[in-house]
Amino acid sequence: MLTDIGKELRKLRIETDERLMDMAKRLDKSASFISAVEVGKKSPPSDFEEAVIKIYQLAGDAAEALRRAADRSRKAFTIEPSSALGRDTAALLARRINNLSDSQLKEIREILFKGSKPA
Amino acid sequence: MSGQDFVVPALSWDQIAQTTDSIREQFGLGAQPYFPIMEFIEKVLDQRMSVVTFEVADKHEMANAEGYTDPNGEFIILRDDVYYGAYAGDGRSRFTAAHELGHLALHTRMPLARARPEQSVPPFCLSEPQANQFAAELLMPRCFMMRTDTAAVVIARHGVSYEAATNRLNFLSRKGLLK
Repeated sequence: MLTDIGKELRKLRIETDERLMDMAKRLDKSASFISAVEVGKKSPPSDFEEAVIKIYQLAGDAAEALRRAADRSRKAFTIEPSSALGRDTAALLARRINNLSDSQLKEIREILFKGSKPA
Repeated sequence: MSGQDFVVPALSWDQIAQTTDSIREQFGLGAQPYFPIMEFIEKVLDQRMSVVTFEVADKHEMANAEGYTDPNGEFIILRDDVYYGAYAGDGRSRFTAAHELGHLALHTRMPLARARPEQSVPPFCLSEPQANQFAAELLMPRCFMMRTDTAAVVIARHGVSYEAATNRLNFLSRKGLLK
């Protein structure tokens, strides 16, 4: 079963007429690594999608689609707070995130989304 | 699906040859002696037609197996050295890739009964010999094989290993099928 990032990477290979081994070479990874990310055996590393965006010169919607797909294909997220307060907050978030319902998560996203864009 | 043999519905070697010939014809490769097996699996079956997901895995993940085909036909995996080797034209790797395609074409979505060693099952009812025959028929179609062919000629014309070429010449000669 392909992950969301797997689908995006395949689309990219079709557009550029590349094989797995060609993409692996451009991204300086092994073919088996790219393949494992595509089918969800491995989680995409944190810098992975930015490397793809840079090397394939993706912009705008294409870059956003890839970032979203990468996040959807991740099972774990790493945050490294630099202060005690940051660590407490991160721990609190980590404990709570799995207990939120979809509608609560959606509400939170809406609050944050509105907050990031001054009217 | 490799290593372990499974009892599958009987197929004659002629039936397998008809299957591979029709694949070659359908894709316009009837007159082409060198079958582009990797392009066929990765670029056509996976990327363009989405009939199978093609994957590459390393030795560790594969527990040393060279290839694996999902019994439900969802994916084909090749070990990374086989993948690179097949694209580089290595005959043995090309045969492995064609063998896995044989499992996909002949042995998916069907009941597979494990063959017990004490059973004497004829090769035309076993998954491994059938997949090998598929690979041989696909990579070295009967229409090209001449009585005057040597192993070297077959290797150069079809991109196969010495072992595959000699097996093929012996098989067709025994059957009186060399032109």
